[in-house]
This record gives sequence, C-alpha cells and structure tokens, in this order.
Amino acid sequence: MREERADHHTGELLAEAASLLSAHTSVLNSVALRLLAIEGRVADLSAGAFREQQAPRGNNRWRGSLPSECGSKTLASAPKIQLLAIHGVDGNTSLLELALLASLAKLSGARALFEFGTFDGRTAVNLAANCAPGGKIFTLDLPRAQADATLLPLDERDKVYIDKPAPGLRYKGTPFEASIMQLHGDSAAFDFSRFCGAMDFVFIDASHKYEYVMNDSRVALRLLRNGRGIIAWHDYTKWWDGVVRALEELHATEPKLAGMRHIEGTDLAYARVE
Amino acid sequence: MAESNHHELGVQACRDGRLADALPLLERSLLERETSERWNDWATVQLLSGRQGEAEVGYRRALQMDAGNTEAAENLGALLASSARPLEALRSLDGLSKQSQRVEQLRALCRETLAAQTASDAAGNERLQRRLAHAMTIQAGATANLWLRALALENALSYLAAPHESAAAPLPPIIPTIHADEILPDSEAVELMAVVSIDSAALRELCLLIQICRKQKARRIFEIGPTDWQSARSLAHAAGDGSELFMLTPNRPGTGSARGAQSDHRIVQLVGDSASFDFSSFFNSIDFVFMDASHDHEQVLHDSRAALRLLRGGKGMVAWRNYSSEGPGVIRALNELFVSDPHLADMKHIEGTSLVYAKVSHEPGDN
Repeated sequence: MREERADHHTGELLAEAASLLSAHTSVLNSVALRLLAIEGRVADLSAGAFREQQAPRGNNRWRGSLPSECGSKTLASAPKIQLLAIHGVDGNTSLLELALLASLAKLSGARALFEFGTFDGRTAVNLAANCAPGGKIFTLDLPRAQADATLLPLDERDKVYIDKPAPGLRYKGTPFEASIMQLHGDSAAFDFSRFCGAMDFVFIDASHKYEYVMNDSRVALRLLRNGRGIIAWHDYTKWWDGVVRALEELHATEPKLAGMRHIEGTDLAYARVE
Repeated sequence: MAESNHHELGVQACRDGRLADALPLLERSLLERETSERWNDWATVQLLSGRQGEAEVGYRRALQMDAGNTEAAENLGALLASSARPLEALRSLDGLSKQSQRVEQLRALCRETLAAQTASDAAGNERLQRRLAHAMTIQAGATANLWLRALALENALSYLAAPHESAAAPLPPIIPTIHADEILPDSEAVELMAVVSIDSAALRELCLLIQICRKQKARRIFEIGPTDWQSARSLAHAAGDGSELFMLTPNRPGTGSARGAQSDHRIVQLVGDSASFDFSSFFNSIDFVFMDASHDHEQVLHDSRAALRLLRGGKGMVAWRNYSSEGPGVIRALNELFVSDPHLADMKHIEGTSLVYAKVSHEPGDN
C-alpha cells in the first residue's frame, strides 16, 4: 500500500519535474532516460537489492480523459506477427507498443501505411513486416537542417529526436527496406496530394507540439481511403501535454474520431475511422 | 536598454524555458559588468543547455570573484557530485554552512560515492548508481536553478530509500553476460503470436527465447511454471508443425488466459508443482527446458537437476527466468550451478534481461 502511494506521489513529482524541464538537447535526452530509470527503480528500492540495467519499463498507469481499453479488446484476435529491431532507445515506442501496432496493421490488412515521424525507422520496419503482402510504408521525417524553419512551432523537446544525420537507419539493410519509402519534409508544409485518399493506416509519432498533432491528425483524416481506416498516435502521456490536449480535443470535437481509445498500459491511442 | 535589464531579462527567459534567448542576454550582462551572481546564472543556463564543461567554468569563475557565493558553491558541488567527482565536490562544499540541509545531503552523497568508488564491487556500483540518481533529486532553493529544482524527487526517494538502508548486501551476478544483439541481431525478425498483456521486458525476453528455440531447432519443449499462455503459443509456433510443448503449471485455478492456446494441439498442459511432479515419463526426450517457476533457491536447484534429466541424450538447451533482483534465490541457485555443475559451465546471462541459458552438450553424470 505504502509503495503504491509513494509510487503515485513519485509519479506526480516526475510529471511536475518533466514539465518544469524547459530545455534540453543532450541534457534532456539523458535526463529523461534517467528520470524513467528512477521511476523504474522506485519499485525496486523496496526490494533493496540490485537491479540490472534494464531498458526503462515505461509502465503507463496514467489515464487521461480518453476512454481507455485493454489491449485484448483492441485486438479481436491475436494474429501472428513478426518483430524485428526489438531493442528500443529513448524516442522509440516500447516493445509492447510495437507489438500492438504490428498487430493492428496485420489485422486490418493495411496495404498502404503512412507514418508521421520516422526517427530511426524501428516502427516503420515493423509495420512493413506486418502489413498485407505487397504493402508499402510511406514515412515522413523532418530533416535536421529544417528544424529551425518549421511552419508551426516545435516543442523544444522535439529537437533531440530531429537532431540526427538521417532518419530510418534501422530499416536500412533489412529485407523490408524496399517496401519503405522515405519522405523528407515539414508535415505542416508538405504536399500530401498524391497520398490523399490512398492510405489504410496512419501512425502519428512526430512533433509533440499541440499545433502539430492537430495538423498531422487532420491530414491523417484526408489520407484515409474513402475516409476509412485506422489512425494511431504515440505519446498520449502526461509527459507530452501537447499530445494529450490535442487528442482529447479531437476526440471531443471531431465526429470521425469519436471512437478514439487509449490502450491501457501503453502510450498509444488509436481510432477506427468509419 | 538599461544595464540591469539584460541580466533580469536573461533570468526571466531562463525561467520561461527560452534558453536560446537567455544565454546571449546573460553574456551581454557579463560584458557590461562581471559579477559573481551573473556568472552563476550564466553557468546555470549552460548547465540547462547540456554544456557541463562550460557550466563548471562559470561556477568556478563566480567563486573566484566571490568566495562567499554559497549558491555557486552549492551548484558546483551538486554538478561535481552528480558527475561522480566526489573529492572535488567536497572541496567545493568545504566551508559551507552545516545548517544547509542541501549541503549536508550533497556531502553525504559525496562520501558515499567515494566509498563506492574505492570499493569497486558490483554492490558498490549499484549503490553508487542509486546515489547518483539521488543526487539529481537534491532540491535547489534559488531562482535560476530550474534544472535542479525540476529534478526534486528527493522526498519520494528518501522516503522509500530510508527504511531499506540496512538491506542485506545484494548478491553479485557472476554468470558471464552476452549481449542480446549477439542472439537476435537488429535485422532478424522473430515470429510470434501477438501478445496483448505482457510487459515490454517480458516481451523482449520472449523474443529472445523464441530465437534460441529456433536456432536450437527444438521440437520438444518443456516449460516449468509459466503462468500464462502467451509464451507457450509463440514457442510452439517457433518449434513448428509436429512439435510438442509441455507446460507444467502450478496447481492454481484460473492460471493465465488460455485464449487461443486450447486450439493449439501442440500444447499439452500438465497441472502440478515441480516439487512433487513425476518427470520420469519425460526423461531423455526434450530439446529445450525453460524454467520460470519458483524463486526458492532449493526449488530452482531441484528443477534444474530435473531439467538436465529431461534432455534427450543429455544434450539440449536449458533456460531460466528471474535471474534478477526479483529472484535472489534464483541468483543464488544459478550461481551455484554455474560454479559446481560441469554440464552447465556454458551458462550465459543475457544482458539487460533476467534470462540465463545454457547449451548442454555432455552426457549427464551423477547429479
């Protein structure tokens, strides 16, 4: 009981700490990891003994105002999936989230998938491994050189994920590279016209700024074939208030996204758009 | 613009999180007039921007100008302490008032860091890591120390840590480690039956087990003590058509969710406790034994001995879970087996997981 209460209290302190952190570059990158590690260690302090260096668990017990459901409800049946590049770093989805996304892609039979925010391409390669045969993944990433010239404001904390020599390094050299098309640009300025009405599945995991999540989500609705398909978002968590605000607003005001759900125990939200 | 404004504006910008604006303002204010206080604030913005080297220079300059600048001394001490430089940190904190709780905490941290650095054992390193994490929680009072204040988890951590200071020294893991990438490189995929309610660490372990199973071409698998079906489904799938997977699950009702697994004819559920189960009809017939059962030291030893007898011709693969702080009894047992049993001399601990596995290739001798 005491541990749970302290856990919750620490969780709140962490949230407050994270929101106070207002700048970053390499400091945030490592501090965020360290904060996650502390959160993971909080439970272990009561066990006392050592804990080996594990990847941060990112157990998300937090719930916002989006209706939530557990993973077993999200997936009507458990399909067979393939997973690769299982090792995760700061900026990736958790392995469970990756498995859920892969499963959603598989179950939906998606043939054309669009991703906002490639980062290292770990999600893209897993979507490629699990979409319908012959399927294609289009993934859009903001080039480092354009980070200071985006049409909409970025969240300062986004910059560390933008600052890399090239996106998608983890799908290069895999058997799925040929099914992935890397696009470069600012999602607020990019010309999506040839992709509109052609996608079955959209994953939004780019800038965490409210304005961008709103922008990317509205674009996503236009990308869907006949306005139908699945949209999924990452980072629906108290650490990223821009995402939370945008998703909760969209859920409340956009009729097509009334079915948006938070998948319990993860930072994923998704909606089946009919 | 009046001189004092640059400094004030710089501090305000820092508070608002506009570090890119704060820095030139503070530099401007320093050019106009160098003061210890301004150096301290400049250094803090550097620290917030991730430039620890510059921050250190700034704090030292602040102290050069005014040795009585306690805030700069504390900040420097905290920076050095959290960079695992306890001796220098202590020097910086020297002479600061013993009345300040923060200073006393920093000093205690430094002493402990020193002790851990000189001890240089696994347990010491872990304490050091914990203390370094604790260092980041030391609260700062003053304005510009946004970063330090932001990391104030001190209350929660010390509350949790305090009753456990006297915990027995943890057991060091002695089994040689292998990197997960050596077993499952980034570019290789594993197939699994989708999982919905397993945490990411366990999922990662499952992927590794599947890979080990596949590489071993295991056809008959025995799982001792798993409490859910998710791993069984994926392992049976990896083993392929015509394979068999025996699950010995504890004698508890409602063990795990059997969704989908009942339709997999490869999976045979045996209900029982490994302590009393009669394994003899399975002796000499299994390719891969996976133990995820008891955390009790004696029981793990018992299960492991049984596992060796299960292996077909005494050859195959055995693996265990919970070689971690959650299973000190498992650590003890596996450490003992590693040291004393020649069949298990090949044990490897997969770094970053609680998995240990061993390829067994000798004839089983007398156990």
